[in-house]
Amino acid sequence: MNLLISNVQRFSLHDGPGIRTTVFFMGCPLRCPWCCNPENLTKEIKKYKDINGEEKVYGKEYTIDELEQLILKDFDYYSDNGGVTYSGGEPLLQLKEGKELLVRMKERGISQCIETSLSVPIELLEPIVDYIDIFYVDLKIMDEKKYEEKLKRAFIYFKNNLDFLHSKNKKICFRVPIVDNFTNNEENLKKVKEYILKYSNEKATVFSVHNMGKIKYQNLNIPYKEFSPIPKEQIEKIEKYLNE
Amino acid sequence: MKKIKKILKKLPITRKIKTIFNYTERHIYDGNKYINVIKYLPKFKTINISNYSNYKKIKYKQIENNYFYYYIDEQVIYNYSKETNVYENFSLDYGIILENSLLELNTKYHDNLATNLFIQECKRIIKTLEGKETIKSNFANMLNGECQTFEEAIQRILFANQIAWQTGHKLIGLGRLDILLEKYYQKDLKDKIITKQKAVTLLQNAFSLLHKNYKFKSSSIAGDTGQVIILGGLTDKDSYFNGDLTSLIMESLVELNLPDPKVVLRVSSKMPLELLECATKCMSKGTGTPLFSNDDVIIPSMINFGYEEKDAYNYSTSACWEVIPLAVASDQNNLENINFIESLNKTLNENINNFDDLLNKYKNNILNQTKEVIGKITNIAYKKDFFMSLFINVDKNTDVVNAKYNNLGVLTVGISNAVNAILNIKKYVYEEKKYTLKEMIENTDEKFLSMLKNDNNKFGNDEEEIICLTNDLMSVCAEYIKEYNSCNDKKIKIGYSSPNYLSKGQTTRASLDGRKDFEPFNVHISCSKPIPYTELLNFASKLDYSGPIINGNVVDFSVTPDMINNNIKKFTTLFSSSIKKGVYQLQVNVVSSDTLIKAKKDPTLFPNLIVRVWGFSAYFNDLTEEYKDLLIERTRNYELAYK
Ligand code: SF4
Repeated sequence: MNLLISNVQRFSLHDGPGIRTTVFFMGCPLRCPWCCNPENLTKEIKKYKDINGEEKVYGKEYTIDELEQLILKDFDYYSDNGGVTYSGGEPLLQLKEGKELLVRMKERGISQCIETSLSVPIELLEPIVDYIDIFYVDLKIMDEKKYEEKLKRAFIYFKNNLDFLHSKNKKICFRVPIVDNFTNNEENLKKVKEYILKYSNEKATVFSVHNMGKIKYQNLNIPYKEFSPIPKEQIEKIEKYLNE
Repeated sequence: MKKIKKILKKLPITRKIKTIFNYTERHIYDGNKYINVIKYLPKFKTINISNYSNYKKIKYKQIENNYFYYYIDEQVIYNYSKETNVYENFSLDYGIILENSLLELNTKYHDNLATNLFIQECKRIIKTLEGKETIKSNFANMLNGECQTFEEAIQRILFANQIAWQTGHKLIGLGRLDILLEKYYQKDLKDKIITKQKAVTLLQNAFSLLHKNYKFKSSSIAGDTGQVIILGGLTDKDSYFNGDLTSLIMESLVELNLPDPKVVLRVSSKMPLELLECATKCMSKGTGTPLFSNDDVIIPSMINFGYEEKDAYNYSTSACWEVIPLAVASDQNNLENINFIESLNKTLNENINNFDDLLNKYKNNILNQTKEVIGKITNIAYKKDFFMSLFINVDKNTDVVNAKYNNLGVLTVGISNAVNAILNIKKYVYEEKKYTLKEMIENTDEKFLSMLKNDNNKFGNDEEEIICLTNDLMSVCAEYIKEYNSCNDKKIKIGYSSPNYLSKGQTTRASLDGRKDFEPFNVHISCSKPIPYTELLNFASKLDYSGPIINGNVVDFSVTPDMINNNIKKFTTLFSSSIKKGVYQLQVNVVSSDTLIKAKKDPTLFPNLIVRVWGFSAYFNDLTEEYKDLLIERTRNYELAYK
């Protein structure tokens, strides 16, 4: 069984506790307009030319063994609750098939986190749920209709999966992207807050959109729309509001 | 002329002195031609080093400090003998001057001219000290009694240190300051003559005084003073010294925000995690303090090399990081460099049949260079030195020339470039067969060079092949040295890191790692491409540090202030894990390339910006433009790994 991965980032500091290795899976059911990882939207290897005109690709197939070896390289640094984080794209699209990796990680006592939109059929979540220690879940657009309209996916998957995780008492940390005209309005943030209160005991993190994905859009020849980053003070204010 | 004056202003004083004695250094390149600069230099008084009564030419001046007296006359220089070298570049064992009065020392070592000098200068200073009664009484007690207080202990260290510099010794370290001072600190706390806050004030006053003459004290670049404070460390296999002063000294120093003095913290898996976390916090402030030196690896390596166990446990370092037992060794650790690219380029001009043939011929050339370098350094003669003799081998009352250890140190440059070049040759000539060796050597096309530079396989990757190749090349030198050491008293040490990666690069032609003519070599144990820290540290922990390979092996990387400041705990974990894994030494430059670029453009924006240079820190504005560029490139490289 091979997994399609766009990047394996060692010593990553923002994807969970301790020192972690983050594995970026390709393929995503959503289409967030502000997405900064366009190379991860579809599950296929993508050729491109970089600014020096050199031929390169996004994406590489890994066997479970290869991925395991790569993650184990930093095993000694995982001591303080560190470990592996599955990100993407949407890692849940591939993890069921790659379950063997999760089994091996668990056997070694390595902490496993996932960054997910939860927007997949529950059949993809159920088989792996027991292996994951922390779920980092994005709270984006919380109005069902607008979610479907803007993100191009039925809301119900997200809702079902969230209820499922909740029923299993899983540790859920919410992440809230702040994007003007999409998520950054009083009504939406109010709903976000309700979700946090209902589903999570952890502090939600709030972050601004950024334009760091621009170069990838250019590389892939996809038209790019700039977003205005939200000032730090405003982000802090929202974070305070959501967590009080 | 303006340009020359500007260049001269940046030169450390010792370099200016060299300017007087050495023809090539007397001429400075102003961009068009070489200009004799002698008339632009300040006038120096000269003192004959063998006659200490001449020392009275120094006129002590009042200084603005309420706690200590420390004065160096920067206009005084020494007539060095041309045939012999002066012992320098290590820490003194200041314990001797804390435990004995000067008069006592004089009776114990009646032959030693230095004790006479100490007494003479102590009395002269007392006469100078008007209205400063505490300082005066500390000096008076120094003459007759054993050291009484924390404050007096610091004064004694400053006094000995001042005379060391003023008698023409360079790169003088400050020793194991926490161990030296802890008992005085604790006693004064108990007797209520001091508070923690007062201790901080005293330490900071002392550090500022030591820093004051930093340009005078510097050897090659302003900041290169060798004023290293050693802290912490294993006292035996199972116990680690962590006094109250260990972190207090580090924190007081960092708070001052000076590039010098600097700290080498002896770390170990046996050390308390809180101390490591405190060290990480200090490091995050960006002054280059501390550098980590891993006792778990170093002490066994030193014993294996031939130092007695108790001497290995009491190691300090030379100006940068080269290890040396305190108080018993006059090892000169930084004498010559083995240039791995020089040997490689020589090999490439020979007739090469295949890859194995290339490697064999290359190793043979490395071997020849090693022999040549060792022949050269073992011929250096040293001057008898009554000042140094007072601080080394004190129990034996012999001259420093006959110290218990008189070992010699060799450093290496370009091994990283050589490994990268060989990987390129292997790939393009012998595997992919894209080019012949001749085509590769002759190709100077920019695109080709950038391809060589950007190839993914690099020194610093934790790949079996690369680690083996690196160990294999170093073992050529190490095996020969081992053989040499087995039948010689003066033993040779060698290491992976050298301050000369810049200067040696400037005289070495291009190399097949994509480095152009006369560009600097890669620095210490680092990667020329953006890679994660864990990968580099894994690589470093798998290098062989046995036999003679103990002469400083420093991993060097940069991190942005934001990244480390927001993640102190995680960086502490990174360091503690790499200590367990067996990294030898580690230094971190905390700075962002953005800031460096701005500071280069407009030096007035960040007048106090400090950067780690090789084994020391310096004000960014004191560096040459070329070195600034190099730092910017290196810093950006690490930032790219996390974009
Ligand atoms: S869920 Fe993430 S990867 Fe998928 S489209 Fe949205 S931002 Fe991009």
